[in-house]
Amino acid sequence: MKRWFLIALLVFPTLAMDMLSGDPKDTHKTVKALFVYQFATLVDWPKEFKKGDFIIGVYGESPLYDELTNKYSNRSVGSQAIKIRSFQSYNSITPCHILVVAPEVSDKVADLAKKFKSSSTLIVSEKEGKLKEGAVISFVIKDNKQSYELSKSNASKSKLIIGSKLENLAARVE
Amino acid sequence: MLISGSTAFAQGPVAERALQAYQGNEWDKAARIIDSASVASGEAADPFTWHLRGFIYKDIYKIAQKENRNSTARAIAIESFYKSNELDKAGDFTQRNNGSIRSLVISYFNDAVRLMDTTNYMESEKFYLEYKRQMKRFAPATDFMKSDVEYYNAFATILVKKFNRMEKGADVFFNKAIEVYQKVIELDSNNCLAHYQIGILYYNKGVEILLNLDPTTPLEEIIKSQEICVELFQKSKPHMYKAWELQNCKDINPLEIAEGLSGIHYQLNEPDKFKYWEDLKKKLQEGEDK
Repeated sequence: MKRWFLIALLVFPTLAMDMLSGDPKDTHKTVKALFVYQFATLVDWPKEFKKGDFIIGVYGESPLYDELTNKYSNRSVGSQAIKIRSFQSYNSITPCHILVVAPEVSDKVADLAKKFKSSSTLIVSEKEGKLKEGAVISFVIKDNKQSYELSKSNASKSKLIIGSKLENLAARVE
Repeated sequence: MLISGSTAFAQGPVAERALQAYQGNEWDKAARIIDSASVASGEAADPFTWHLRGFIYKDIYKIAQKENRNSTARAIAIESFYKSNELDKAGDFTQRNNGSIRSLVISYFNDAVRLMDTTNYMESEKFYLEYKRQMKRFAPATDFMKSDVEYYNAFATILVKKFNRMEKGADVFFNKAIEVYQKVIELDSNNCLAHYQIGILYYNKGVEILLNLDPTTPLEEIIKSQEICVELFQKSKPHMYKAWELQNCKDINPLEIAEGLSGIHYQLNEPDKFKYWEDLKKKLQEGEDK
């Protein structure tokens, strides 16, 4: 008859998961870029700015520039092709439809608001609390989420008309 | 040999014939004969008849059927050994019967381990539950907490693999993985691996939602998606903190837990806490580099 060996218990494999590969911080720029594109579609520019390319500028060092370039360079706002520009110095900035101001240069918001008032530039500050200095939109954090606040009066000074959806979904409107 | 000197025990003529067939490796024939002995009036009350029947069916399962996990021979073998024990007033067979029962019960557990892959994982649970059922009968005092924790941690790992590989319907695996890890935590509230895994599952899901939003996602959907993600990150947080407090994960480096906490606070837009964990991460990293 047969020999029997004691059967040993095998061991279950368990593996610890990894966090998603890549930089976990990317989501902030992703969400901000989504907002910027929506600002482009939900704000009405004066007629003379509805022709040619739709320029989105980024002033200062911001990961938003790469994100916007990667995801929106081949898109359009209405019939206007989107072009993304990076400005590293104050003097190099040329008129844009939207100018995103990086946090490190946010002290220039007041100057920029004056400089580009007649070119209907929608100034978007990445740093919060910049409406009083002339930004039309400031990014803010509300309830752990990225949101924005907007100034209708600053928009009006630049002859920009804020769409009702953009206004209704803002964290704060002044 | 099945039982050295087994023929020294008095046995009925039918069992004798079955034994001869068994010793000649004629398992089917041996089974037919022993089955008739197990219902024969005289030999059915003999513990040797059942003892022999157990070994015949055990060999059918192990050798003739090459450990086919769905073979009914294994269960018949176990039942036969129990019956032999019941009749074995003199204690001639019980020790060997029990050795065989134990090895057969463990074979259910091992089948569960072998089936623990992304294809057969559902069948694995069937064998694990059968192992538990049989072991409770064989050794009622057995504490299954440790093996349950190991089993369900492994089971959830498979579900996570399914979740990571699938595009459509992956939420089913995500939800099931969470459910199974929660089960582990119910069994062992200090199970570091399960806490860490739940933390990572929620975190990764939130990040994935945000990274995969269509560039033209409407404003209200951006806001709604963020709400969903904040909820996921908030669910992730207590589990990752618990994993950190426990500091006993044999499979997880504390640096990875610190990285998880740093990531969660980043996603929740909590800069002070994010900085705290980033600084701690750097210290841990420096310690590793030395």
